Amino acid sequence: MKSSVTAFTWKLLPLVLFVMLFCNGCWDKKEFNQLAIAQTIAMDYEEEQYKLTVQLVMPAASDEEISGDSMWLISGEGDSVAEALEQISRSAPRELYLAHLDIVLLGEGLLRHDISQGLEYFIKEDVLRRRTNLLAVEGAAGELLQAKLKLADVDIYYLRNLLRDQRQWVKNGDTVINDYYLAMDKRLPEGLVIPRIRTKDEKALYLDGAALIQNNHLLCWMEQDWLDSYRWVTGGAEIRTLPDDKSHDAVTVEVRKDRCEWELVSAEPLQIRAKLKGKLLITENKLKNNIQSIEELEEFRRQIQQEMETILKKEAEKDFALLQQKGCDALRLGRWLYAWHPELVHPEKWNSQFSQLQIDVQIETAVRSDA
Amino acid sequence: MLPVLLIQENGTAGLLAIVPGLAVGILILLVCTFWRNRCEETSFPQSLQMLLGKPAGMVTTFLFLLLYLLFAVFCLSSFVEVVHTGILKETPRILLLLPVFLLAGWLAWNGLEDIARFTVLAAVLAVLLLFLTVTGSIGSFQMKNLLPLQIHSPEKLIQSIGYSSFSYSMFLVMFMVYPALPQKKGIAWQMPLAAALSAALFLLWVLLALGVFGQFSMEQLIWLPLELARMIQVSAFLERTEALFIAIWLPVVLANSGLLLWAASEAAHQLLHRQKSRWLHWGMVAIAAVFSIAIGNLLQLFYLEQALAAIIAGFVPLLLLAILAATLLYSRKKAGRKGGQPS
Repeated sequence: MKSSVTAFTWKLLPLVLFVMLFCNGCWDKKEFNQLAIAQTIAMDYEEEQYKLTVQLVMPAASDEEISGDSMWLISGEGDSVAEALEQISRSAPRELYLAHLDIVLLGEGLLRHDISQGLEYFIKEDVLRRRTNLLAVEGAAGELLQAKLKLADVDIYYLRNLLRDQRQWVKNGDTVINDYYLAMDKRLPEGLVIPRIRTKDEKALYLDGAALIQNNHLLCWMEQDWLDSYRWVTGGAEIRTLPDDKSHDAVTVEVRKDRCEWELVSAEPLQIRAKLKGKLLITENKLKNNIQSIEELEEFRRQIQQEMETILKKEAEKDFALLQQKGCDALRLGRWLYAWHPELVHPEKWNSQFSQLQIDVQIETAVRSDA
Repeated sequence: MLPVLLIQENGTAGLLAIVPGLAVGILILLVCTFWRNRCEETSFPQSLQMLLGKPAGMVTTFLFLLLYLLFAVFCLSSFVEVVHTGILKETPRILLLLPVFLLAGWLAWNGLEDIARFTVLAAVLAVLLLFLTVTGSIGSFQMKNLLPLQIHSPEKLIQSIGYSSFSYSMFLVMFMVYPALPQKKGIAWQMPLAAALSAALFLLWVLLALGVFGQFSMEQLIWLPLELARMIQVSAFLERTEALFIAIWLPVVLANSGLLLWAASEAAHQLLHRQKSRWLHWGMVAIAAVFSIAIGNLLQLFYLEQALAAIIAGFVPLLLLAILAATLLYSRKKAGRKGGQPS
């Protein structure tokens, strides 16, 4: 009995070994030095042609670190994204590897045409993850990627650092593919805010403003001061210097914003309260030598708080009103309202409902000890 | 795939369809316990012949065998499809199928004890996977993506309940497993508790996915665990974990399919009154593997699931009723015989 079991095991062994040969994933192996690893991609749409510019890293096997010599830019054009990519594949000296794409730059042409057309191919091919970052470029995205800046070359590390630095100031400020999907829900459309990246005097890159997207199209470009107010929705921080004034000259305040809390005030007419909470840190105070007592200090802080709240409230109201004027719910208010009060929302008419609803802005701040 | 179907047809409240499915699962376990308590002396195939008559009993045993095989095919083919479409796109599908069938068959061959030990590991890994997914996705989770709870298509709720019932009908395997379990106090309530816990974990997965992806996006997803794995990012420490995820998921799949193949093999052996035969066992595994190879793509897998769900919807209630009724009759006869025996 034992010998027949052993005999059968021996007969099974070659099959097991044969199968094991294919269990180590070598069929899908990718040799590092045979790949053109795409780090960043810029998508443009001009004259009815999709144009892709891909930044590729093609390291040698002996490279211990990636240098500028290993980076290449290749462009392709076509009637569709797939055609443009095919052109790039034919030009690339190595096998194109797209699975490491971290950032997608969307050019103005594509933003005005239709973002979904640009992204659809990559999403269906499982190339883009839902965590891939989106950045908007005013003008041609490919040109930005090819820009020769004085400070540094435009590459994935530079872009990643910009985003990382932004994260220190802004919570949930990145726009990723998942945000795109959430915003494009046809049942309840909302606006999408994609940070804009620009060059400054051909010296450096910086994040400034954003593209406001609705129904897969660029609605308009928004400036940085609008974005600062918008940050009340997502949370974040900004530095504000109070206006030049006899009593409050040169007082700089860091405003740390919590995420906006919405509250239904009334159903008819539809009125929502936006409760914006934050902390104020006085970072620069050239008047501190004038303050002699604790009471004076407390009075000073109270005045700063009041002044800041007035300014911030005015700006928030103005910027929310701007969105309402455009009929674009980039505040994700519809999603909140639909989640907690679905009976009040008409999804197919949400854009016009959003334009007409009353948003009451309430700001609560607390002054923390001087930074 | 089940949660996608639930959400697609019904929105968030489609998750409620899990409850009837779980109820079917618990009902199966209760009928199984009832049968076992009254027919301790026989195995399930023998019981069926005793309860339903020899021809009907044999046919029913054969149907059970087929069901176990098809469940195993479905389980392993789904996993291979995830790996093939998501990770190893160039590796031929057959080369992914054969090793998993070999492993599951080997696990089944070694018997229930090895499967039980393996399942302990699989349970730990399932919890680890959940922890990993929750940690990595928590930053993207928002309640407002999940709500409101509403049914989009009430007419498809019945269909969703059908799919949910199909999923929990895999508990039919307990009819083969229960006789092999040692007589232990508490098994009768531990099994439904385990079923409820597994349903709770499953629900947690789906709620997490809804909170991250939203209801609209969920309709477009096919492989939910893979998509959630792609969202995992714990600072710069942990990202791009889907390959690791799949590797951790493998033991869970193997434990389930190993048990199903064991049950199919055991049913075949008892039907043919054979002792442990390697040719019979590996023949069954080979048949299942060939059937899996024939299922070439995801669409065919969906069709298989639809067909099985339809069969289960009609078959399981009748079967449970028949077993219940027959067991009651048998136990009364047995009681009558004992009462009539001379002291």
